[in-house]
Amino acid sequence: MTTRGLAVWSLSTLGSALITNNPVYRILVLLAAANVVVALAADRARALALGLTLAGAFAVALNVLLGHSGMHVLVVLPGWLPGIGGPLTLESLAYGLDVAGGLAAAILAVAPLSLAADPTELVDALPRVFERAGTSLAAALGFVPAIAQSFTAVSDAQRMRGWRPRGPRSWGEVLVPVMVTAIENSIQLAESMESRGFGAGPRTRYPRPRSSAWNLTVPLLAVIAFAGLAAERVSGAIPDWYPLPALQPPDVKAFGVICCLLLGGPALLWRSQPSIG
Amino acid sequence: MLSRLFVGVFVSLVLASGLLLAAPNSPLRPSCAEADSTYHVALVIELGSGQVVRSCVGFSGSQVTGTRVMQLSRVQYSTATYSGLGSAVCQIDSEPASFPPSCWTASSPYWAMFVSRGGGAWSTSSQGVSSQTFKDGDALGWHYIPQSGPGGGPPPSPDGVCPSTAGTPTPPSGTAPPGPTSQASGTSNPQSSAPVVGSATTPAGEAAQTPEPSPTDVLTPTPLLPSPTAAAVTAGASGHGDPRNLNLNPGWLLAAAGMGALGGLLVLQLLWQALRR
Repeated sequence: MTTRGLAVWSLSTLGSALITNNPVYRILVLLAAANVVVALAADRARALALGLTLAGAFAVALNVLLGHSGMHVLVVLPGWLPGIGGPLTLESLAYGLDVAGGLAAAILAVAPLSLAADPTELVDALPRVFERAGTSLAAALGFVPAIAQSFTAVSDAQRMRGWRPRGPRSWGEVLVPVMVTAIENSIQLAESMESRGFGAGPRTRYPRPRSSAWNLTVPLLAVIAFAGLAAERVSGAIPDWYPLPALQPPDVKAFGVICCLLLGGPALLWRSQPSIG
Repeated sequence: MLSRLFVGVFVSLVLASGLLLAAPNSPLRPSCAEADSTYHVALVIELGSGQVVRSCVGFSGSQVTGTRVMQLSRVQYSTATYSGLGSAVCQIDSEPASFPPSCWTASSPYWAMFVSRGGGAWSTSSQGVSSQTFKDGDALGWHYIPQSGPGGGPPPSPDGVCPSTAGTPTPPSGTAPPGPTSQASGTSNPQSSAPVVGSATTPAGEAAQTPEPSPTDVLTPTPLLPSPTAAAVTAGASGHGDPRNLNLNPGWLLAAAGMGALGGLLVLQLLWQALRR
């Protein structure tokens, strides 16, 4: 598996999850992406699964409580309840599940990029045109966990010195050292990059590993799958699905299903690869 | 003697038929349930196909809300509630066949509402249909228009739809364009061909007991036009309940197989990961 191939698969799967709101296609994309995540980074997927469950439950609850549309009423909440008062319908529940499925599919599509690939490899996988922008972006994103670690370390150190949170002003004793540390780290990073010749001229690089036929097959299939779904969407063969005013089964085409199934390729072809090349 | 009896029976039948047809509430005659209504509002609906339906809606009281006009008209419609603005009409006569909770998408056509006061020209409405009130001689217009490009503008003039003198009920004036329009709104459906001037026997009459509808109304009394979409939806709905009409779509079969395969693979992977630990 190559990082560039993984990035192509992720983008194609993300596009496939967002290009249609057909729940059947979204479930297929969701299952395909879940298989890939489990195949590549099962040990790191537990927290992701918990987060997705919470986000999905929130999306469903939001749609059910706020969207009072539909013919099949499940429960009627008292009208005096602000916002949520009124009928809770089966159609809103179905639409909420569809939204949650699309959300989960989109997140699972890009999850392998952070779970199974190193940020430096992602920067290397970028085309040369985006190399400098990608480096800056990666450096900026790298500061987020660094600041979080710094915040934890400083607050622990302050507690050991007797500091206790007593209102907004007391947090200054933590935030100021964190900011100073962050500025120091950024200056150090800039100096180390400069000392390594960043921006001085053409960059030397390690030779890229040659892509095998299998490694080329997966991104190719993903691009074909996305292109097929996009063509069906543009031609109108995949119409938008909405459960209102009454719940109706979505229109499902065999071609679209095949396109979604192609996205599950990495789960079968890449699972035996030990690491990202 | 026998022939005189036959003649007598025949004449009696003819007279009885004439009386029935002349009776105000006869089911054989286009009914005018609100014939004694003192006040009228003209309703003009221009569908996306260009077909126009006009009707005169009678009501009692000094004024009536737009929602009440739609209820009394017995036209199928659905609404979504926007806080502060009132209800927006998302669907009239099953056009569109389905819609999102937000009523329309960024690119879909929508039902534009127009108001005419006292026989004046159409003007756009700044309020939702539930917040807009109408008095005798006013008109409510709907036009299914795209969000951009040509095809917008108000529906045809409401002139002549309702009697100019208050208190004289008038049946609907049929449809403007020739051909299928007049056939559709005039003769295809006995209920819709009747003057849509409020009927106490229809769901709209039931709704008349409540002054305002629930946050989302889906009234399905009478389709205005025998649209293929509505027919397809009806056929689809009946097909679910009747096993004889069960139509196995290859797309659905493939999707079920794909979901089973991807779901099974996911379970196997999770089991494999659990066993490895």
